Amino acid sequence: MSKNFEDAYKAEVQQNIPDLWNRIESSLPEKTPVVAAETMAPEVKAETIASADKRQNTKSNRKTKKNPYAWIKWASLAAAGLLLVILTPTVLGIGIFSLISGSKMSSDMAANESCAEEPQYAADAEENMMYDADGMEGGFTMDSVTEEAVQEEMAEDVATPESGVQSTPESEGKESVAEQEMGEQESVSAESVYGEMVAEGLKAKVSGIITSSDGIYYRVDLYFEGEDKEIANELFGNDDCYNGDELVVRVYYDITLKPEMLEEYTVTIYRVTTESSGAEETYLQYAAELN
Amino acid sequence: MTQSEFEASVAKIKRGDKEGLKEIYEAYISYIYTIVLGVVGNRENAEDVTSEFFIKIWTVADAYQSNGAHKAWLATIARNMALDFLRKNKREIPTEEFEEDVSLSETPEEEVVGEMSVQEALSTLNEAERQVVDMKVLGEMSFKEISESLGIPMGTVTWRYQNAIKKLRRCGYE
Repeated sequence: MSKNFEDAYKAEVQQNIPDLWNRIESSLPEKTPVVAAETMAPEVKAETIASADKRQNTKSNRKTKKNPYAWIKWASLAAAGLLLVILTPTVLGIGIFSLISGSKMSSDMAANESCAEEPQYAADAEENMMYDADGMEGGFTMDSVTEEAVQEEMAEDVATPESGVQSTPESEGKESVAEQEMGEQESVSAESVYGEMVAEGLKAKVSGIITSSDGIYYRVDLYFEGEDKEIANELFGNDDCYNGDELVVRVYYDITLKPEMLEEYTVTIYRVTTESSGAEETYLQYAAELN
Repeated sequence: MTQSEFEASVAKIKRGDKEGLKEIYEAYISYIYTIVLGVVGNRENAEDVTSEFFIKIWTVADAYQSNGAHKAWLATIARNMALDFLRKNKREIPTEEFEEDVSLSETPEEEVVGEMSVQEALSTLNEAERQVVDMKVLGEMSFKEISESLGIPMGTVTWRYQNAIKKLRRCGYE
């Protein structure tokens, strides 16, 4: 017969609670009591009020007494003003100078930085030229691959079998180029594209395709049972894309693995935090990498 | 302990009356100790942190402002103190070791082992799984909080927790 682990564990820990009171009590620092006026005894309260009145009286007496040296205060104020008038131009001059030199320095630094970036840029351009010179017809470099382009390609790939269009040798050639490039692209992790990984090792079934203006998404049903469901509730409970049983996500654009309808996959879920999500639909807050 | 009882105890502490702290101690020692043990994962350290917790309550009670949720306030302080302890003693977070030698294989898919005590069941978990289970069950922390406090991805946390639950199921626990 199965027992509830959480309850059993908590019960067991609570059976063995140590007695720490003596240890705590001996370590308590001395405390000055904070006494509120309302909680004081009447005689203490009266005494406090009386002493407060006394203090106030003394203060008012001090105020009415004329200070014979009051003129010194005014004289020192006038002297300070005069000093300020003399010193201000000098101080301002230094200030402006330092501001100008500071801005010059920062622009110099920016210029240096841009110069430092140039060799890398040049190296990239050189690499691209070499890549183009290999004779790849209509090919695209890795740098120029945008997610939209890949999504379009995914759309074509998905549409092809459904529309019954036969692939030509030419298109096969293109596919092999694309596959080759996607192979290189495998180094780009879903995490770097989308954002934080939130769950892995979940079972999922591709149950539908959602066509949106910014690409094609797959509806992926994740099966949650028992503890998995508890985890899912905590992870996705507040999200529109989760209805308690299934989670609608977009699929990571790794087109080397085309999602098959009704196929079951082990998936890793990412929270889409980057702009590259392009998700117009608010419920597409997660991406799934199919394994 | 009701909110008004708690506030009365705090008022006593403000007056320097240790009785107020003792009332809170008696009402919440098991709750606080369980949370702390869940985070630090070791009885000796849990006792240290729990003691420090009540000493802290004694000193911060003056600043306490009633918001009607004193239990959550206490839990937050306890958890933060335990996490601070973990950060300061990062190199020594020994999960409690158990003497019982339960020979179970690591794969959770194997057949269910008969009834086991909680400790026996816990001994089937590895240290990382045990830590996540403790933080989740005893420390009442969310996966996000665990992930942040351990500095590991949330996916790893949920993965470890799932694995641990599978192993515990095999020991007859749900």
